[in-house]
Amino acid sequence: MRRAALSLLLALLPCAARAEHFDIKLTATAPDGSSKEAFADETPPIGGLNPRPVLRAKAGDTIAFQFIMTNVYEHESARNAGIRFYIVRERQLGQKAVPPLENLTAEGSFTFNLKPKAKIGTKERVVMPQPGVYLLRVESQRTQREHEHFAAIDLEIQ
Amino acid sequence: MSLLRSVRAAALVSVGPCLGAGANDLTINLKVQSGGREQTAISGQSAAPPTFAVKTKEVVWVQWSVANGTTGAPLSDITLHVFIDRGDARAAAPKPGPKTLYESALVQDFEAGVKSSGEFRMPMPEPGTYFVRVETIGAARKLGKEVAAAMQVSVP
Repeated sequence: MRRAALSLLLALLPCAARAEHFDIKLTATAPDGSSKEAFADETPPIGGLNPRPVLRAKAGDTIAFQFIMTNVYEHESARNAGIRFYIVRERQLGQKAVPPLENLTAEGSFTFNLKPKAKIGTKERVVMPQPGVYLLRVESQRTQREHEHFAAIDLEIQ
Repeated sequence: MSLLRSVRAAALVSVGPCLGAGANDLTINLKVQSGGREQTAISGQSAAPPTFAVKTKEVVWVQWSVANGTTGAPLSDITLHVFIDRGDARAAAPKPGPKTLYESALVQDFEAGVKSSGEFRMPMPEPGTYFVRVETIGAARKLGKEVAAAMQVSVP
């Protein structure tokens, strides 16, 4: 299994060059096997620079998502840094503004001392109870840098 | 593919001996809340994991913190592994399965007094016996043992 893990890590390495501070790989998979990936974006500007991929599924489906974030800085640390992730209903696909974080379908966070080259990973299975458009987003917080990083995928639940 | 091993692989490259850590422990505090009720499990304080009952579809709020009570050199490259899955919390060295509901891993250095925390909220999808477990991986290299806190979550 260590070999498998190492293989996965090596597979992730090309993504590390896409972000200046944080590398993020966010994946969401529907029960039919369809899957979308998103990588590190940054804010400001509001909503970031990259268009968000859209994963489509049905109400009642279980969406599996996973993210791995890597602090690509080799020498800088940040005390009490954070990572937050959530699924929240939004008005329309691709909207720039993050909706109010109310009635979240799923959420989680971490607070920790961010060390150079640190990796943080999470995977979760979430039942999407109702039709609608949702934002799946993971974001860095309190990294003591001029901007924070995030990755996001829209979920269109029919 | 293993999330845990993906996160740990980079850290293991740089792991070296870290002698001189104090005799005290890392302490894990695990709390599960739902419907105005809560249950707590603290590493090393109970032989049997406590049980928390939740209704189907009810949202559980899981919080954990890990504090380094040692007084020696920093504990480096400690992985905090958290997961909730179906099964018995009393099982020896339980591991998350392919359909684990939630799993996270982060690698951190713990200087003396440093605390790390995390939380998540999720609805319990269907009846069954679940467990939530927070564990260190890598502490044994410095402390001679790993630290864990676990709780049974029953959904009748």
